[in-house]
Amino acid sequence: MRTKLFNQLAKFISEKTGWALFSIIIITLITGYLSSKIKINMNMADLLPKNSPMMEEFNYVAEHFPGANPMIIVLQGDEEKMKIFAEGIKNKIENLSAWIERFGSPKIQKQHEMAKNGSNFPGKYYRRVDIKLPTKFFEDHGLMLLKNDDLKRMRKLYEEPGFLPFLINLNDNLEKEYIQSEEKISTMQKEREAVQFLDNIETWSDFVNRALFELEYDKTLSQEAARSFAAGSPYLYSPDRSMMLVMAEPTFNVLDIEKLLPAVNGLEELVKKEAAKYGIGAGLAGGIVLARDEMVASTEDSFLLTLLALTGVFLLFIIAFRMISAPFLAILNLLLGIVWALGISYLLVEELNMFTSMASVVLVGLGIDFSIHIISVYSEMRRKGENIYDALGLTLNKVGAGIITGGMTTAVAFLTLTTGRSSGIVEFGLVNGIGLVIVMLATLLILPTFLILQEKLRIYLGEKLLKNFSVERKSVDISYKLLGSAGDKIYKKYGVSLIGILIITTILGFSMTKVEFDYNYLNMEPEGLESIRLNHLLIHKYNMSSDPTMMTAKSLQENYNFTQKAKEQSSISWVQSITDYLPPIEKQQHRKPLIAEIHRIMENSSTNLSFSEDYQLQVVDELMRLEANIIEMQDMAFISGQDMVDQKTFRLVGSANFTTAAIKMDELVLEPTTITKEKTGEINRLLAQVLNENFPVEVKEILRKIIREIQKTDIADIGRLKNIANQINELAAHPIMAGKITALANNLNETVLEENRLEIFSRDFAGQYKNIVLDMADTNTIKLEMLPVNTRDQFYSPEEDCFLITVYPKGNVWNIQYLDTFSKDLLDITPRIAGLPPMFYYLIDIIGQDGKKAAVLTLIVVFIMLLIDFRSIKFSFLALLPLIIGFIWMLGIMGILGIKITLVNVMALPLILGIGIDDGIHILHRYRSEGKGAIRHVLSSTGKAVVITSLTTMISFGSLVFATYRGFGSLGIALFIGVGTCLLASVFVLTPMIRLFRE
Amino acid sequence: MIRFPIIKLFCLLLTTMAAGYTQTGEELLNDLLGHMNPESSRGIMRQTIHTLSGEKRVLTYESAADEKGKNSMMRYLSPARVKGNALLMKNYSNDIWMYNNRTKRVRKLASHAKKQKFEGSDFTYEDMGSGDTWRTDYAPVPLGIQSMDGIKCNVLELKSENEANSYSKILAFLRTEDQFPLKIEYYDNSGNLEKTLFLDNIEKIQGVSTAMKMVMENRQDNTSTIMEYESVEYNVTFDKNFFSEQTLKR
Repeated sequence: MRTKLFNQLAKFISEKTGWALFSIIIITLITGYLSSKIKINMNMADLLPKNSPMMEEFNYVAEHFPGANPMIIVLQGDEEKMKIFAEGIKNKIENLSAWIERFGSPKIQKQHEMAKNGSNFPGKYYRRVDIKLPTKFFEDHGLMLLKNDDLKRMRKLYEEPGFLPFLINLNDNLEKEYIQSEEKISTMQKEREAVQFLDNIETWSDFVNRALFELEYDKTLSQEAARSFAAGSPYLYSPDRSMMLVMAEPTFNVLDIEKLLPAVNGLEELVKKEAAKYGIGAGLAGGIVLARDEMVASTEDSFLLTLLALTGVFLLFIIAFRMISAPFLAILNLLLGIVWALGISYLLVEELNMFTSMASVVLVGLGIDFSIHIISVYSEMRRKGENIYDALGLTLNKVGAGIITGGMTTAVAFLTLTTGRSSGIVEFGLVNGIGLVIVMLATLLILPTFLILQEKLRIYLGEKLLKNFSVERKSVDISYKLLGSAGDKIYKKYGVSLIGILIITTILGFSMTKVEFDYNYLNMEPEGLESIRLNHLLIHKYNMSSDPTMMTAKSLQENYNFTQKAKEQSSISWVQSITDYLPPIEKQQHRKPLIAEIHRIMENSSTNLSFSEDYQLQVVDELMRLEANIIEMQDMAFISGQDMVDQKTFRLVGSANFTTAAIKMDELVLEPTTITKEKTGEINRLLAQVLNENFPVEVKEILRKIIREIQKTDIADIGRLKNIANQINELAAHPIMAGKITALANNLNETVLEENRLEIFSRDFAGQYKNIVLDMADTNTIKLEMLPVNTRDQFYSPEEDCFLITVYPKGNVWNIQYLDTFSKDLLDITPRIAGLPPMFYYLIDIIGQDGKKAAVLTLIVVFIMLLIDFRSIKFSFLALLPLIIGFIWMLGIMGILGIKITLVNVMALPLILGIGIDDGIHILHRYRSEGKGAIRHVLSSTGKAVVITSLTTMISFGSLVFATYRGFGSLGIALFIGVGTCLLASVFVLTPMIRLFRE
Repeated sequence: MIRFPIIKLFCLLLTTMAAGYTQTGEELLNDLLGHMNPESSRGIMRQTIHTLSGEKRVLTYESAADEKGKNSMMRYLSPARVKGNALLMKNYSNDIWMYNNRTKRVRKLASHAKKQKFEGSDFTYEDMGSGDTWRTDYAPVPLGIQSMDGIKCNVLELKSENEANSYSKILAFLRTEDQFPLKIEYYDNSGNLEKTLFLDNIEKIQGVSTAMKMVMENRQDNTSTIMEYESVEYNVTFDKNFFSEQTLKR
């Protein structure tokens, strides 16, 4: 049957070469068109099982809240400049399309044109840009948003409008809030609230300072001071205000590849160009940017690495066969085969995912083997003097069956992966399995056609013209005699060989247990990505990762429950939810009486203040009390490890290390008899700590000078020590070192304010504060329709059927211990969560299960195919043995080299079971046909093909090491080692085992 | 001739009785608290915590306790920026005062603060100074003998008798040799394991078994705190006004 088929094929190609060529061209044109439509999507979500709750939620969120995963624009630099920049950039981002058309680089303009001409272009890339929080809403409904307990505790603050009573109440409240109850900042969420409160105080102190000490008194500053305390700074500054965030809500989601490139590239170009004008730094972070980076890297990798693999294979082919035309035809055949395979892949999956994007490299490595077998025998037949038609018929009959068996074995191994749950693995199996069959079929049609064409062309053009470009000319013996001789020695000393193999396998088997799983997803990403660097910076500055996780709630009550639960989790940094603006109705009802009472008291309060003679002193006393309260918070925060609060307090009361150093230095020079080297050393250590804090370079330079001075100074040199103490005190007077509250208290203490500035300001402040509190004490129930449009759109679906909750992890989600806690915390709330971190967590679990299942299934299927092929259990087992040993060696070498299993290279494990079996099959087949004692001949002849096919596969997979996307590199190196160990095992294990079993 | 077998038999009987004797829950609890709360002590401790942003922070302080942990005081020695800050806990942590060396002020914490984390660690104030309150707050139930890392341990369960307690149950693993606790597990009010305290590097100091290193692992927050003695002495006589606000401000 097979013989008949191959004969007919040979006849068709030989006699109807034109038709064969025509068929190839037509198929290539059709599949070429289809393959040009294939896209690469590196989104991790595409790897999950289609029906998993996470995937469903991901699709649900993507459909209902396309902007749920915002673009985070990270600004760094001067506080005021960042604010001006943010105000100016908002409109430009919202009209990014227009900006790209006018100022974008040609490359981005081209991408933009493609997006515009594509389907469903909404006209703009970013629906909304948030540079501020909706403070007006807080000013109108602030008290209704406070919890009842907080309202009770803070009510005094809202009942007296006077500036001095305000300060007294603020201090009383701070002493209750932070000194008596550490619970207020015991979790990340509470710490964030504490930082927000301190930030309000900072903004308030800025306006008070300006109102009191600027040359001209500006009445509006009293209003700003009152407002800022009530609603805080609207900008998303980091606690130390060295960084600011701008959030842009895209009109597309991360799966929308067409818009992804111009939207991200255009935005990046815009913010960088504009930021340079303001002298600040700007960059992009967030899941969408990472998706862009992955896509760019994988697309470039896919093309370049395929080219690299083809070149490597081509060169090896020339070296191995010592001819040029045949390798050229083989590569051309392979290219067309891959085009066919990709065309069919488009029909199967439409998009290539993280796993399938390297299918072409896999197909190069495996597909070239078919050509090697055909060319090897065809050239042999021609050398033997067969004419081109007979040579082709004989070739197809000799190697066709082997090609089909070998190809199908590997393809079936791939196809067993389709039994997995993960879409990534299923598609990987499908694309590579079907792809390999297509390449195999293509090779059986295309390569013989090319060979016949070449020969016909040679005859047509004459011998001379093509004599250096011919298969026939090569008549040198290119069998591997050395391999045959080595195999012969192993065969004869099989006992020693087996002992050696046993020792090596034991060592590598032990080393195999050392192989670890790399849980850091970012280790698969290209190196040096700005988005990843900024993500680390966000964790450092905001205790917040830019990889949020989303969940949806069907009702306001469910939304409230989810939000509350999320806020209680210590693994969560920040929860964004509509509950922050819209508390449940019963909670609002519960708060109403107290708010009404506050409103009544404030309404009846007088703003016609009278002032005692020592009014300024009283204000100074309260400011100093405020300073003391914040210093105590600072120390508690430091001891308790609450870095954000600690950093925030720096800006209000200065650096604790520096203040302590200054006090200690003063104490020393006041009592020179107590000076010791140890004490000056302690001061120096404190000052050295300040160098690690967030101060300007010029301040750090002065500090370094002082530190050097202390180191050089003899402790007996009191005069010089006093001089150093003065330098420290001078630096302490620097506004940055002193902190804003300390500076305000000191300034007010040392300055006699003219024209009753303090009293005028106090009256104005009282009037403004009263109005603001009366606004905030609105007892009307907040309803959904009262929310600012932007806020409602952010959290409420356009279909008005669900609410979005966004949860930001507090730590590095790529630390598996943290990821484990974070994912479990979220799954405790609801199984329907969508986000990169929990998806990754879920995926590694599923892929682990799928990988094991696929490996077992592959082994079973391969064994069944071997049984069918050999019709002998003994030979089937012998063929399987080098694969098992090679597999152990592969993992053992990975263990020794410290190569970890990653989300991507875990694919290599089932894959190698399918790929690594071929060598053993070929050797055993040849051995059976040659008979006992023919191992030397088998290895020098078939061994050559086995070595070359393995080397081409290794070169092809090895080219992945050069991938920018490091995940592919990890896959390449694992497969490189695996194919190599299977080759070695096929030669060095199979040979003595044949002797042991067969003879 | 006859007496020897009788004596032998008597010894055998005593041995058998001793082996079969199991301590009651109360006895095990007494042993546990005896080890956990010596009459009085003074020492220098090193505490290692991880900050909320994941950095390691080491603090040292001197500590003092008397009346079996009823009163205790601690004062920071390093880092320099918090040196001199101090904490006074009286009546088994029901009354807590804090002193700040920079502001020279003393503040009293609310009584509910005892259930909160002690200075950012995985210990609560209550864990640090609950003293004898376990006797009244929990019912001791012996759960038999278990082997822990090859060491035979009596397992004592302390069942909460009051919903207001911080833990629903506590499991203590006391090595049978001297009933010194090697591990204590704390379960939250939902019955889930919240924290585990490991007591390591056990040394005899002035005849008192002392865990020179204690590690509290918080299973829920995935954090841990290490407390190590740099030095410790027992049977210290304190001035009668030692555990007071005046000493706190010293």
